Amino acid sequence: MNNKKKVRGAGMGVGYVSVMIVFASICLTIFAVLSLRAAGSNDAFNERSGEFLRQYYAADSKAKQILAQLDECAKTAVASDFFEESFELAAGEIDGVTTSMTRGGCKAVYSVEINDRQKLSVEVTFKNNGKYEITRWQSKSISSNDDDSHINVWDGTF
Amino acid sequence: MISLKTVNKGVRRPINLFLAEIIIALLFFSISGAVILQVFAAADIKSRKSGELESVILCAQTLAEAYFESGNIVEAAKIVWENPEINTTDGSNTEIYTADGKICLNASEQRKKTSAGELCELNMVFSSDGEELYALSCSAYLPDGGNAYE
Repeated sequence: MNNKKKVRGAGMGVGYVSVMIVFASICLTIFAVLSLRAAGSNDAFNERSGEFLRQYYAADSKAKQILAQLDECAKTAVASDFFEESFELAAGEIDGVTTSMTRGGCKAVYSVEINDRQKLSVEVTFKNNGKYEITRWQSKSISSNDDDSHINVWDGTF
Repeated sequence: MISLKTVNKGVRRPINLFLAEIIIALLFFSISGAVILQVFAAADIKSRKSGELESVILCAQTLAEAYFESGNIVEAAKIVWENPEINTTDGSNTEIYTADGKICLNASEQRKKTSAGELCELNMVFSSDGEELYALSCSAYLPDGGNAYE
């Protein structure tokens, strides 16, 4: 009688191993799926990043082409007696370029669309001697056209 | 008769059941383990490829920025990589390999002379073991006689 009890109590009960194996399998499956999803999302992020870089440099190339055209206009305008007038006249023929006179030269402003949400905004100042300075070359959100937009904060009055 | 009795009394039944359960559980675990290992391996391959793409994208961006300054892909590559192997096939096409030979860059340049300067267009194609990883096009404008000033 004692022997029978000893034999029954010595081993693990039926079902424990199955429960442990199923639990381990479930845990491993969850880890495997999580790692696959993490790798997938990282890959998708890199793809998006690469696509944005392509779009940015395509817009940058267009902006550089316009800059080259403006530089040609400036070179032609330097040869004439009235730099500002002739530069404005020539630069006005380029699509999307807005010019304005500044002290000792002209300012050309234009923007190139990067994608449906962002644009590359460029501002170049041309001096009377034909040399130029890029004063702005930055990507901006298309929706924020107003440069003076600011966060509403408490002004100190009640 | 004696052994039959012992079996009927249930002395050996738990051991048999235990062994049967172990065998079934191991079979289940080995099958599910094989599937799980394949998923882990797929995740690892994807992660490695993603890391490679990330470094190539960063490299392309750095090359593009270096190209803006010099307008010369060979000089730009020397800034980005240490001791690159450069093979210029003709005037406009250049093949550049990293020192370890893992990444190959095929660069083709087009230069347009204007009256005021030179507009350079660069197409870069990065590949590894013959497989294209990433392609990027960028431009640089070099004013003739240094029209730009700081």
